Amino acid sequence: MTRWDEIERLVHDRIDGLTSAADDAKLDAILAADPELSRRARELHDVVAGLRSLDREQAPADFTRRVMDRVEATRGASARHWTWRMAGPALMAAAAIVVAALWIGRGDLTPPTLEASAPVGSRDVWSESAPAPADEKPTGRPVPGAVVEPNGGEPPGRAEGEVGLGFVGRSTGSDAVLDALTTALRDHAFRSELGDVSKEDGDEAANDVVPAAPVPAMRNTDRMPTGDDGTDAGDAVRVILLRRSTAERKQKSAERSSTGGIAPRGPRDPFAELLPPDEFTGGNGRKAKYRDPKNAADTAGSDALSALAATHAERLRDVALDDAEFATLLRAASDGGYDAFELDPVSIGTSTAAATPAATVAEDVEKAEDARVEKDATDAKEQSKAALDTAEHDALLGEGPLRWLPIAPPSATEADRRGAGADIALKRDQPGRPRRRTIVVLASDG
Amino acid sequence: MTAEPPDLSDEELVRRVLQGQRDAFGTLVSRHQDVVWRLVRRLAHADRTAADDLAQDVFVRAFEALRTFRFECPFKHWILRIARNLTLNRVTTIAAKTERRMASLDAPHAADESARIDPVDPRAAAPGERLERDELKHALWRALQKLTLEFREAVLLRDVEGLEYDAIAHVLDLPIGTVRSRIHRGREALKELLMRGADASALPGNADRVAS
Repeated sequence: MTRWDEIERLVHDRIDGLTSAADDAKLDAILAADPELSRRARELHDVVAGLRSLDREQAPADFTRRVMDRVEATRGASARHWTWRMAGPALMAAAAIVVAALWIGRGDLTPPTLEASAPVGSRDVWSESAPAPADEKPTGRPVPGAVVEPNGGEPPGRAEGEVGLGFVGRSTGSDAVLDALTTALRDHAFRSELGDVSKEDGDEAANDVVPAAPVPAMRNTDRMPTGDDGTDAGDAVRVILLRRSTAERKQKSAERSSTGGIAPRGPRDPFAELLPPDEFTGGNGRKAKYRDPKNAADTAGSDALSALAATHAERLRDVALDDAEFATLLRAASDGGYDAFELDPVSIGTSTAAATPAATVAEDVEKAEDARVEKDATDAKEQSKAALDTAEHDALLGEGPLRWLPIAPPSATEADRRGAGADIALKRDQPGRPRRRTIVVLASDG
Repeated sequence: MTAEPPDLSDEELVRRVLQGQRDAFGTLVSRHQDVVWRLVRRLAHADRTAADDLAQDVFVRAFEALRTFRFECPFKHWILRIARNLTLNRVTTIAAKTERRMASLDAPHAADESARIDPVDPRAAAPGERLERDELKHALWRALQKLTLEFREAVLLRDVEGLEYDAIAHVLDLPIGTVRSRIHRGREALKELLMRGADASALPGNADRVAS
């Protein structure tokens, strides 16, 4: 190490105003005694001074207006793109949906075990469930076929701009199966489903240009969906976990004890909001409506997942929710004693565990304002977090590569209340509906 | 467009956006558009048109992802991090597009910067000095563009945008020690580039502060 290297840090620190008086005196003494070092320090200082004197360009005068115009435009039906960068999460979500169909088809709807595939942070959620027998893993070959051609070879008849709400009854626990599903979906179902896939970001070949100048090498992490840094959080698949709250479970337990083990009728089951339409009318042109949540409360069993899957499994894949409906779901979950968590998008991007959920309901929604949020989102999160038992919260949110962040529903406006319980037509019948990101919901009654 | 009171903090504006007050986002945009615009332009070596498009994308992306903002850092750092990441994702395309639009990679900066009217600066009293200063600016920009990206972004954020080390660490998602190292090494590399191509002693600056 040269002497310059030794004093370099001091010089930089002085440039940045980080040196103490003692450091300054020491540096001055060194530089005064060595003209060469003094010259190099002067040069460095001049370079930095030059940088700091550069003109600070400004954005065009109408920049804000144009951004806001685009923000408005993104709310339109055609503004949202599925990019290749979200293909991975989307495929995983689609695969999860398909796995659901498989298991639903098998009539096996017992709660899953997540030995190999569960999000680490949520593993305790399922610990009360009976482990799945080892021989329940589906074989690889039939699975992709079942996925790719769910309608006798026809691609899913989903309207443009629509993403389905899906449901998975249980996890296969097999990465190999999921990989096979993903591969099959990539070339067929995914494109059939999503159609309008934008290549502008990820697929340079689509631009058919070869940069004339060297460009910095890309790193894997540069394309990673992120959350707090926001790179792709807006497009990433969201994974939501609904979990019976600690307080709710304790209360139920106490009530069972007080009634001699007979479970009293509890609050309205939050999964009633997820229940698929009661009625369908024919083929791809079929219409369907949600059942009235008030009545659904009467029909939903204590095992909401099983009730959902047993009654409406196939239909769930054809339903999409908009933001207001998602807000309704969250509110219903909250009212029913469920806590809601969102998987940190960063951990989605850094872990494959999230790609193999167990019980899954996918829906789409994104902006809180579309749900006519009245309540401050941060306060709501705090309330949700506070409702958790500290130890469980830590176990749920703090361990493993996956991070679960508590989320809370927006408070309902009068309009929302009027809308709650109203029939909600399938989005396939509303082709103008904007495409939303898929949300995979892991739901636990435990 | 920006009807929000000017004294609201960025974080309060974010909350208002989340509550449905879209105009609050316009205020956020107007507050940070310049720094975002400059960063994407210089990181991507983009012309003004490409920088404009990319900077807009940054804010649109931020709006879409605003719900994920967790108030753990200043909004400015968050938006710069989006800008940086989005720029890295698109830098190849942007460079190519810029290349197609302009005859050379150096020309756009020289062209559109020379077309701009600099703010009033007492140091620019004499035309000769002005010309010399413009040449030095161009030399600096050219040297900056020759730095590897990891050094360029660190130097830009520190010495052009004036961010503190901890803020840069958050924007770049790096440990502060790494940030410090990159800034130091970037400056050194920049100095070497300038020494090879020009007389660094002609650069503006108060050398007496260091060399005295």
